[in-house]
Amino acid sequence: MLRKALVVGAFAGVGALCTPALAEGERAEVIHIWTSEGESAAIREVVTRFEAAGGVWLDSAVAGGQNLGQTVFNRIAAGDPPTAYQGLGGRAYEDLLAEGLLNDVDATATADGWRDVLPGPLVDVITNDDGKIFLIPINVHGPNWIWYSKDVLEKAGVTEVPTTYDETFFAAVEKINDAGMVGFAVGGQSFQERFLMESVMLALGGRDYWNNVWQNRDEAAIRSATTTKVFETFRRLSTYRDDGAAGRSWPQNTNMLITGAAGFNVMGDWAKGEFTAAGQQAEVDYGCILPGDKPYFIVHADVMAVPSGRDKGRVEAQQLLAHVAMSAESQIEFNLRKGSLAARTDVDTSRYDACSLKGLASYSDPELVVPSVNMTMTPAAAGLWEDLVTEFFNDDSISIDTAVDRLADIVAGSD
Amino acid sequence: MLPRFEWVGFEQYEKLFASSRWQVSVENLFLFGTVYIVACLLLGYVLAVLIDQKVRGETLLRTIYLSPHALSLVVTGLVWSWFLNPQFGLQAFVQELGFENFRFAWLSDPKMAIHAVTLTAVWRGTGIVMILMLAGLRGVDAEMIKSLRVDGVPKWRIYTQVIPPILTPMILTSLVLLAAGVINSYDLVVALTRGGPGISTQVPALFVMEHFFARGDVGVATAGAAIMLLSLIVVAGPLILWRRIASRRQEAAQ
Repeated sequence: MLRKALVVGAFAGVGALCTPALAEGERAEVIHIWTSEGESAAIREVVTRFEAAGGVWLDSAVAGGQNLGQTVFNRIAAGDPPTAYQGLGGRAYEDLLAEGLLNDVDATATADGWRDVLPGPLVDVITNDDGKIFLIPINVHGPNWIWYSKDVLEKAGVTEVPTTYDETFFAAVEKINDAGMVGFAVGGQSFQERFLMESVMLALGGRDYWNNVWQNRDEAAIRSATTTKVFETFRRLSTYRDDGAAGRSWPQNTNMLITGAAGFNVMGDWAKGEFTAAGQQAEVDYGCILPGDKPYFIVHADVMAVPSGRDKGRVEAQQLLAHVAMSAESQIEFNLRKGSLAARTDVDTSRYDACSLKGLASYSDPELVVPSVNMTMTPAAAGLWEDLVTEFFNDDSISIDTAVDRLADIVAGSD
Repeated sequence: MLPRFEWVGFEQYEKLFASSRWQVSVENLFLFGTVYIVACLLLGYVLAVLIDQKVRGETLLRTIYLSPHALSLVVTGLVWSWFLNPQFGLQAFVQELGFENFRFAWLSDPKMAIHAVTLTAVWRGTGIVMILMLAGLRGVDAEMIKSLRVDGVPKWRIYTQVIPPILTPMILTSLVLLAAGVINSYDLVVALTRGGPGISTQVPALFVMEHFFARGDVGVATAGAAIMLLSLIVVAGPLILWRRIASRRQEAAQ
């Protein structure tokens, strides 16, 4: 009897909490994967402002990109799409747009003048075939950074900090290994291996080579000596893996630098959120390098997509979300915590740390910026590329010639 | 991301079979499935026979052997991924004991990783087979065994040649349960290796899930799923047919 009373009471309590919330304001259910310490602090900045603007935020955080895709796909297919969901700027939305399953946020984008404050290439990515802006570009990440622990380098006696994947870099890694620490920490998930490969590719080939391969799909560039050199360097990097690398996630990997267990790693600048959450400072406790003969930068944008649906208030909530998330204030607060750059170029950058300023300098220079593979290749082709990278990295029996042939096939096979 | 109904013939299947990842997935499923089923049956039977020797503390032993089966696959995978982790698992432990050269890093070795998955699955699956076999052994006519012993048939021949045929229903039941376990291996792989290192522990279910949901490649994913269904029919079909024929014969005999 008592138990029954408790259950009824609990339901009544929940009901009492929910009902007024549902009645007021725009209700937005947002599916995202921002769950690590730095990431969740970042999204909270948007949530607070959204609620202050009268909205109601229903947080649907899931763990990992595949779970995100699965949840979103199932919800859209079942006719119960979320108000918004996190995604990557790229070509993954073409199917949904063709089926008319996405709304746009063009009204807000035009009213708030997004086109004046976002760089051209990014505007192209978030604009649909009708010329309407349909994605909310939350931030811009560079996925091709090298990070290092100043402490570890000092302990191992590394004096010359490398700028790219050259002999200086490998010498430094070996020196740290000899000192009994992990020289180069690489994680064991295929997307980490892929970002590492892309970082090597851009560093050794430069912007023109990158664009020739991924944008112009120039077979001569793909079969050039540069590609061979890239694969050679990538294979050499695979030999520096420590025993614990298998399956290691990127936060664990970054943590090895934070705790002084490892010297270098390569990860997107979302890793900076972990450094920040651990109380470490850019260019004081840890250093950052955009590798290459110049500091090249791959544009990797986190966006929110807004599915269409018949429920009342959906469009209003989406427009409010677009307005709030893109305000200069939430852009800067969100990105300070996440470690990324604000997509808007007109925000107050005085609070950016040393690494963000490096990134910003490259992001603002059209000569140094290249689009990510997701922006130029279909999702299927990008997936095959990731397969190739992870197979090559983990299986020495795949020759470089075979790998180059497969790369050529993948690029040629993408729409 | 959502299905579009255009007729493309066998294009998606061609893409599927050209993918080295799919090939590795299929090989792994066969390798894993065979070793897993055979090892579980053998070990389960041996354990059941040993326990059947009227040992002390039988209830306790039974509980211990069966307990892994009570764990979810995800928990099993996680715990074993810690146990097998070379930096703080078994290898580190033995090295700390003083055996500096001890190497046991299956999870980070692409050639051995699939065996780590099998090992974990066998650990979990043996108990249930043992219980089934034990139940079967208890049903064997004790008088018959005694008379065979009187006739001078050695014990090992009884256990290898006389009892197994009597246990056929138990073996079949175990087979069905274990086969289901092979299909379930998805959870275990996700928790233990996430399909890595590289693509070395991919299984078809993982391939389909990732292509469908993470890559939005509905075509190749559904082609993979169709092949999975077909192979299930090929494996299960004859078994069902055989049972039907067997039961018809029995009816006819009566």
